Amino acid sequence: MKRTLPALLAAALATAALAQDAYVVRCGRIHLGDGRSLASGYLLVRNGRLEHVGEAAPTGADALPVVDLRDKVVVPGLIAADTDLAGNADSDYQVTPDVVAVDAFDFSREQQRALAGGVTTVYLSPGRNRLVPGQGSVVKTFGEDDARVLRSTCCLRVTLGEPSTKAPPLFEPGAAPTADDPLRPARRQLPTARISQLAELRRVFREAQVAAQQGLDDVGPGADENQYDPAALLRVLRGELPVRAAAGRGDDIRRALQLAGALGARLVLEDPAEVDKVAALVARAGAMVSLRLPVRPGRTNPGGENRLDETPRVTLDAAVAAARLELPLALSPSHDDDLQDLLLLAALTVRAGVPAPLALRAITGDAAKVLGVADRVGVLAPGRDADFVVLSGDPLATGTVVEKTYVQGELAFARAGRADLLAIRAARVLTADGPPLHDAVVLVEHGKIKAVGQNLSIPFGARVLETRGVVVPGFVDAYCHAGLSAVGGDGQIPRGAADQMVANVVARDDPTLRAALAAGVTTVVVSGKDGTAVSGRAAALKTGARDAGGLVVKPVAAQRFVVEGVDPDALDALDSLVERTQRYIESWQKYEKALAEGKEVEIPLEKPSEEDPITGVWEGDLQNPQLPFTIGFNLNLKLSGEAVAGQVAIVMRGQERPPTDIERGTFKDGKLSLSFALGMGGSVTLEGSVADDTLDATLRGGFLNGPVKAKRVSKDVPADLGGGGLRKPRIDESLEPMRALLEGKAVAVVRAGKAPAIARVLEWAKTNKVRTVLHDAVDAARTPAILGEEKAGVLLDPDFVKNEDGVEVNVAKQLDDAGVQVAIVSAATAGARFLPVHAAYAVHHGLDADAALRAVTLHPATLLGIADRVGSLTPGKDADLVLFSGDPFELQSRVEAVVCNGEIVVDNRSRGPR
Amino acid sequence: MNASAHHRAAGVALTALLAAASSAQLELSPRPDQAALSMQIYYGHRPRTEAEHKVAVWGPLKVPSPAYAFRAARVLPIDGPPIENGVVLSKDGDLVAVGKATEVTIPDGYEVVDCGDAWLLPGFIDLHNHISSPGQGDINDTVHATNPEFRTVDLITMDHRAMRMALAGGVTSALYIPGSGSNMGGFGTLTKTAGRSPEEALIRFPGSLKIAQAGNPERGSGDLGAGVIGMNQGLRFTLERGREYYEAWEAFDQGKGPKPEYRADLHYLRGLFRHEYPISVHTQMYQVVLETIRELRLEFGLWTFVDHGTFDAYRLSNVAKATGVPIAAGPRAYYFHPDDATFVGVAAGWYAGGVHGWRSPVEGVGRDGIAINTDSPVVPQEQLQLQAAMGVRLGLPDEVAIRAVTINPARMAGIDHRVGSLLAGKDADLVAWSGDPIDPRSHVRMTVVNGRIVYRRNPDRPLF
Repeated sequence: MKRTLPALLAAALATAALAQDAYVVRCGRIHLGDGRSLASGYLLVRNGRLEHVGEAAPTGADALPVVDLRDKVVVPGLIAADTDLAGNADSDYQVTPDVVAVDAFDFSREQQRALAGGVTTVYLSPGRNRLVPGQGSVVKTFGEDDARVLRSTCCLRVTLGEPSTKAPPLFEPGAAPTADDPLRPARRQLPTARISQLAELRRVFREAQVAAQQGLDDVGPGADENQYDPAALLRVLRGELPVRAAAGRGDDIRRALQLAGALGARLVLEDPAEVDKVAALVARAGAMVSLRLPVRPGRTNPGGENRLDETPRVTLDAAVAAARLELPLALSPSHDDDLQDLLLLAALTVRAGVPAPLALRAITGDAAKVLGVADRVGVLAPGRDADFVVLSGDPLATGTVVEKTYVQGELAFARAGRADLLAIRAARVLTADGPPLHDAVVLVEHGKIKAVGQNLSIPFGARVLETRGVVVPGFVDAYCHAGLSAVGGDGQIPRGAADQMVANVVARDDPTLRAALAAGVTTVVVSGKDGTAVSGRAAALKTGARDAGGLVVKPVAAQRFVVEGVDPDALDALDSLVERTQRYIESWQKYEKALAEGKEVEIPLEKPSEEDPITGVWEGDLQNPQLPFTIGFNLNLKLSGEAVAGQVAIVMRGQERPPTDIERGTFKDGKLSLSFALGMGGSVTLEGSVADDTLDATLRGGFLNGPVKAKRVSKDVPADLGGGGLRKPRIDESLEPMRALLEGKAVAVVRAGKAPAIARVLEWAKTNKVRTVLHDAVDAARTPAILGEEKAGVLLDPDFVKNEDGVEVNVAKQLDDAGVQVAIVSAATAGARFLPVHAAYAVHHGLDADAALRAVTLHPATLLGIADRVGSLTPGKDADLVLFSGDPFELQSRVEAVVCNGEIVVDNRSRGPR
Repeated sequence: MNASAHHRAAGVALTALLAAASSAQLELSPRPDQAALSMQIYYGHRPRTEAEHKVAVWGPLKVPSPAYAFRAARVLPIDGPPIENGVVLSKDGDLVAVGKATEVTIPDGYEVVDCGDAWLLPGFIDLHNHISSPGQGDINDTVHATNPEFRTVDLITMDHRAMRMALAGGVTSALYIPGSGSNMGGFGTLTKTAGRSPEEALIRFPGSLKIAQAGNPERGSGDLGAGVIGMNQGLRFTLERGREYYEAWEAFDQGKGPKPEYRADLHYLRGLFRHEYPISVHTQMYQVVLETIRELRLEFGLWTFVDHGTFDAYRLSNVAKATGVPIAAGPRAYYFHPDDATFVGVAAGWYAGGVHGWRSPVEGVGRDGIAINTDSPVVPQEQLQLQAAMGVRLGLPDEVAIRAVTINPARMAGIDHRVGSLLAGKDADLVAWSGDPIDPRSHVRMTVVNGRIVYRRNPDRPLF
């Protein structure tokens, strides 16, 4: 063990610049590593170093690429001030001061586990079980070989206490034993007990001094191989190299202090388990402390399993005692723990009583001081290495994970995140169906709320969205026209009708939906404008759906009616609709019953006449060479005189589309003429001649123009046309909403303001067993009793604050006070975005804020029958929520972000101060 | 006088002494008078005051402490007759007054501590122990046979449980010595068993040079020093190096030589030859005790006492007396004689002179020169009282037993000006016993070290 290569490695330090490019990192909270933190800020990285660290953006940042981490927490690269990464091989010799730990470090081995824990700098220990095992080193966990070395020698380690009393005897035979030079017995080495350690250490240093005076290169006892270069010992004596003394017991620590005092050396105490017993001495000496502590349970339990065990173990209490010294303290996981648990370890010491800022310093800035590398790492400051760690949340929170680790400006580690897991943490969470939660977490998985609570742990790898404000459920607007602005033509909103396929016509990217979404309205119940007694069909839609699948909550959520006045016939239209719908339902029930019973024949077969050239089933296709595929036509036709009835279904790529009725059909003089609607192109005509069961015709009117050839494949009257077999009723879209109402699958929303109308509507609802919600039932505010025992819910248009004879009446408040479920609606199109403002207005006029929140979340969802999906932050429901900078009904509060269907669809956090 | 001259002189003296002892010693033993009873311990020419010590370091005097007036039914000052209804005043680490309650006025500002029916005695002194060594491994480095550079003073922790055990047993001063794994184990430390730091608790360092003979230090390596003959030679060799070093310094101090180079390994041996502190010898059998007296006491002329004096070594008590070598006996209280199956109390044997010794002590006074030790933690110091009681049971007079744990060890170690009896000006180390301390049924109620109450018995939880 002759001279090693520390000097060569040290020379490489200066060339540590790795990343040549400059870039800006925009951060959320930044912990600087010296106990201070910034609420948010910027780092400017250039050539692997930090050029700017501050709350304000660096000048000239506009021209540089920006890494946007504004919802992340940034800490300095973590420092593990004690590791065995250089192996832990003790030689046989008690005194080997010229051994350098970094010489045993494998630079080719990836330190991914360390990087995964945010550890960018590590101390390499030389051996641990010899009196003077050698010099410790400090390296980065990432980078090009030699450039990773921060200090090839940062200390000279000495070992006090038990570990260094067990070196083996040295057997040093000569090359060829002779009578003059016989074999000598193995030489035992000092120390074998504590009592001799200090004496032996003093002797070693004295010997080095003597050797220096005499100009000797090597000193040491025994044969050649136990000679060593005393340079490191002399550096200690000159005050250039600190002594790092492993000293567990109180008296070991005393001796370490005594030694350092005698040598005039700076001292780092390694694992001083009983530091509390000599705290005053340690403090007076200004010794720094490095502690290795167990992290994982199920291993050695700090605290001592055997109370008679005399060997002191490093416990969390030692960390607390060391923290009280107010001297630099470094923490690292014990030898059988993972470096990636360093943050956890720091948190564990906080649990035991170490102040949190100090625990964080003990793995960053203070750890750097302990290792003597504070000029390069440990603190985020201009001029230091750009080593930083991107965390999902508070550094000491259990659920926090290291998302990225940068070393000298280079991305050294990036965690493969769980894109499907989102955790929203807020100072306050209002679930709308329970009490407010403080410092709570909403956990989202696969677009659904997985859990909500104050004590939720954030799963490993989850994406974390944080706010110091308030999280509320996405708002539900129970009556609006958002998304319909382009439907009615000329920008007009169409008048509502029962057969409107609202869910089909609303476009996902409609700007009025986007406006509502930006305001936090995630669900809208859309219909045309109220007008006639039977008004619009209402569909529940998401405003922030990323795809068509996510758009529709319920295609028929409600059917709207208008029953105004005191006219006893006001409900006639409704009654008539109910009657028709009941027959419609019966035809379906009959069909379904027959289907269930396996009846194939419901109607006797009708034999067509042999001369009928038309009746039967035809199959053909469109002969258009410009189309990349053929379009087939299936025709069910029945001839009655000259009239032809039936259906046409087109077949695209082998799939038969739902058939459409023939609107007008004639057969005269061998010429067949059919008009029917093709779903995508309006009405078309098919005209041609029929001969010998063959049709030769031309299709015109739509975009599918061209010749059609068809053959009659059956001459039986088709079942749907009164022929034989089971006949499926036709879907009547105008009756479908009422069918859903009568079957209990949707809700009737009846606009009825005056008391008599309200009473009649509720009676009608009771008679027909239709779940009914009243719209703008203003009179109920005065006499809530008219809402019946079950207290029908009420939707209120925004002008719910009335002025009656100079007296202000807040209808929303009065109904709420009466225990009525009230929902405030926007009754608007682009104006749906003001829904939260209407609620705030209600609060300003006396409505309880909780009630106001329910009036735009849980109540509309419940009244419209979509509370299984939306309306509250309840596990199992859709993950629709809004992050407000403050109370949702403070008009000064801003929407920070909106999550819809589990995705962050609005993110305003970059705007304005946070 | 050079080394060989020492050797010759010692040889002559011992031969003559043994001749006298072996012939009809019962008849030759003079009827002792009061003066002869107080054993003349050989101190060489030790410095007359602490200030004159050049190598030894003395612990602090007048350690700050409250002003107390301890009242007790019975006070045993050791240096004087028992006092019924006594008062002991202490302040700033020292005893201020000891006397009858009727004669001692309690000054203003003294807090009265009423010890009721307790017996108040000086704190006990234990001259052979390894207090504050959790592991035996700490104090035995056996690579070399003689280790004069080793010392226990760096190993002391005041919160060690052996320290608490000592206080619970009324032991307030301890000679903490290296182990007997090597022939010359290093230098021991005289320390109080309580203090806010080892520095405050220190009485004197070195307390003694620890030498162990036969038995424990015998080694399996087969090289020189593995057996008795080699060990004796090793001791002589090392001590001669020490004497040369001492003489070189004396010459320098007297302006007769150059300044010698400091030698860490010989430094404390120098104080030995200045008679600033004794050698304490772990030696327990006739032959090696004889060797101790011959080589260390007579050949090198060193202040020496026997520690751990057990087995049949008591047969040499007459020689020990004649050469001024006092004895600490224990922790074994008795010896089965293998030849005639007799059962001998070791302390009583030393006291009575054994087969070669004298047998006629004066009742009520007892002989100085005998102490009792524990070897803590081998025997806990809390049982020093029991060791003394065993001695009494096996023939040691009661009052001698009390002196054997107080003033006698203080004199042997050369610290009787500080501790060992209740005398105004001495350290305020005192213990309130529930009754006669040599009665095994008695226990310690309260222990005071350097004027501070450092232990009170918890009635719910014996000891501590």
